[in-house]
Amino acid sequence: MQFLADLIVSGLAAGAIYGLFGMAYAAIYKATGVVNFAQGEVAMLIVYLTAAVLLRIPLPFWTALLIAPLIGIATGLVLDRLVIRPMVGRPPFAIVMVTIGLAVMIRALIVLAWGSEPREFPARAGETVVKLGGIGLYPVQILAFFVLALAIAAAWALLRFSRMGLAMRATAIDERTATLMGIDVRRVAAIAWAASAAVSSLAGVLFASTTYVGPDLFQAGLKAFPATIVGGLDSVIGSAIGGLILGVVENLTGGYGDTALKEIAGFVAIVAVLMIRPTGLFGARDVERL
Amino acid sequence: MRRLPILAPIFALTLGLATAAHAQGVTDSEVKIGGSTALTGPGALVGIAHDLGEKIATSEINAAGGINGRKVVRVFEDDGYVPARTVTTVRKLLDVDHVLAITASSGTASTMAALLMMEEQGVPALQTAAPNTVMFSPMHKTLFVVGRAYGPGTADFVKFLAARKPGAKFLAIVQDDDYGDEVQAGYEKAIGDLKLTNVGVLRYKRGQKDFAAEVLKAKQLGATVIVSGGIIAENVTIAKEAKRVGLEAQIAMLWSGRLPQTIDLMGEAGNGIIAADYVGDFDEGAGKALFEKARLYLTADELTKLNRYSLTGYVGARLLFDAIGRCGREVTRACVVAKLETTSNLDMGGLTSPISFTPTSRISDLSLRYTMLDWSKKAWVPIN
Repeated sequence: MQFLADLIVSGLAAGAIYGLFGMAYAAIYKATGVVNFAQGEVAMLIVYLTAAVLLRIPLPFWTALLIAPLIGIATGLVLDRLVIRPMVGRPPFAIVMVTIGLAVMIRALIVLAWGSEPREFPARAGETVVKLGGIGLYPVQILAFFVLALAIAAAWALLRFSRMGLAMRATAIDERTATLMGIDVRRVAAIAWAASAAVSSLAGVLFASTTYVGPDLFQAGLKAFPATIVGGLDSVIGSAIGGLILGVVENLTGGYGDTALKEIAGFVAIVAVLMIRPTGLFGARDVERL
Repeated sequence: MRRLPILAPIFALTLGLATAAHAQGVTDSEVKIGGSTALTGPGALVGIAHDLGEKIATSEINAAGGINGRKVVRVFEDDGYVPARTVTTVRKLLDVDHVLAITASSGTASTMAALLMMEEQGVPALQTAAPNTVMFSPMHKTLFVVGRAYGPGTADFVKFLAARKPGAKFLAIVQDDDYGDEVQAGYEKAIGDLKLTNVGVLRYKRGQKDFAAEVLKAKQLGATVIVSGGIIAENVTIAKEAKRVGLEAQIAMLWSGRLPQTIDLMGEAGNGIIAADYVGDFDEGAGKALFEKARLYLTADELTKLNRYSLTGYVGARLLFDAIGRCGREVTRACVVAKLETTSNLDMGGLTSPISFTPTSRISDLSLRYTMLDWSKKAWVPIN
């Protein structure tokens, strides 16, 4: 029983980070209909920038969770303005290809700017193991749960109660009608990119502080992609839950099955969920898969 | 114009004689050698260090007058640890730079990808960083491997651990590739030979970052010694997870994880980890002396990038220079291969055990040394 509990809690800890990445994917898809395949790379870039700031100004770990989203918002807005906005009106497939190109560019840029050596994230959340009901967790893993919960609450409040949230939902349903109704869809897209980068920056910082800052950090974002498919590509909160499911499924597969199958468990989950619910567990509309 | 047919054979003969006198990569004043490793990308931690090791050896020999009066010139290419790129970079080294020998190629897959090309041209090639059995068994005429092969090395290591921890319950965590296969084979051989208690072999996908399930499973199975077959980051994560879940097992890993960066990344969780290696350290004995020498040839920034792979690079270059030197002034690829295969007990001044090959063996199996990570000193302390 302890083994099962350990696997589930460890899975949820990893899943919280997948969930944040999943929310980042869904935020852009919901507002623009585009899957950002550079999500992991964007997060990696923000982590490197945050680490650069913290190397110059030594600050405690919690400040990284404020600095990273601010850098994330700026990065998201710049990427939207320079890369995405010029593509408005082009077929979604072309925009997706642009995000793939962006991913390759960011990876190369990071190696050029910071080299390829893995290094510690400059601010540490503490290495003391905290016991919760007999299950050990690092402080940053506990923090990841809170950050995910806060992100879910913020996303729910934004989408449910704010004018911007209403505009995003309207744009997601029908961009042309939303435009005719006076919604500035370009502004909606810019905010979606900024919000997405901010959320993924949190995932990136949390992930880097449990592992390291290195040029393969982007893989964490890629690995979280099944989370958003399972949860629903157009459901921000569903993608967060998808992340938690993915983390637990992976760990249970590794714990009770063959560990070699752990890494593909997420993709098996995609196939299984899509066969039953083509729009994901929480997806609300027909999703055009690219 | 009528004299041209008479002159042509003379010209051709002269050209032929010139070619015979100067083999590929060799002139009266220099010997050109080449290497291809990852100088960018995640593998650069290994590739740059290896390159710097060769740079020290080359600077050292050139400062001493070169090899039989010829200066050594190095051409180093970046293959990014991608085998397909290694084929291109090695082709460029052979066809454009006309190097005499290839001193390095990133890893097993990269070496094997370029092997046919090197063999066809009779190019002496060295592999000192990734001693995988597939590179020397079956034997390839021109490829010389220095180190302790992963499989036998793992077997030695497990036997060492068994002697240190009688009655231990062993478990291995290995990567799902050729490296993992060999580590697993060595692990299982030692388990079988000594009739040790094996509680499991867990395979993971290359590039995996989360090892919670593997470590929890090791704890559930009652493992007291974990042989971690990770490369670099995997060992870090396994050590951290063991600390988190309260697994009080002895973690052991091969040389690939024994880098300064690994110590920082593992933090206190790495304290007490045992590692096996066939080269020494820069902070003790012969390594320390080499580091002092390196100060003459490397920049301050380059000095910070030295690690165990610099020692493998240095040792490989010294081995090659020795063989070229024994060819005298008539240096050809065939001669270098012949001299390499008759290398006998080449002393590396304590950096490694002596290097030897025979005409029927292309692996110089080096002795392993064992170290334990002392977190308070941030150093690997010898334990044998």
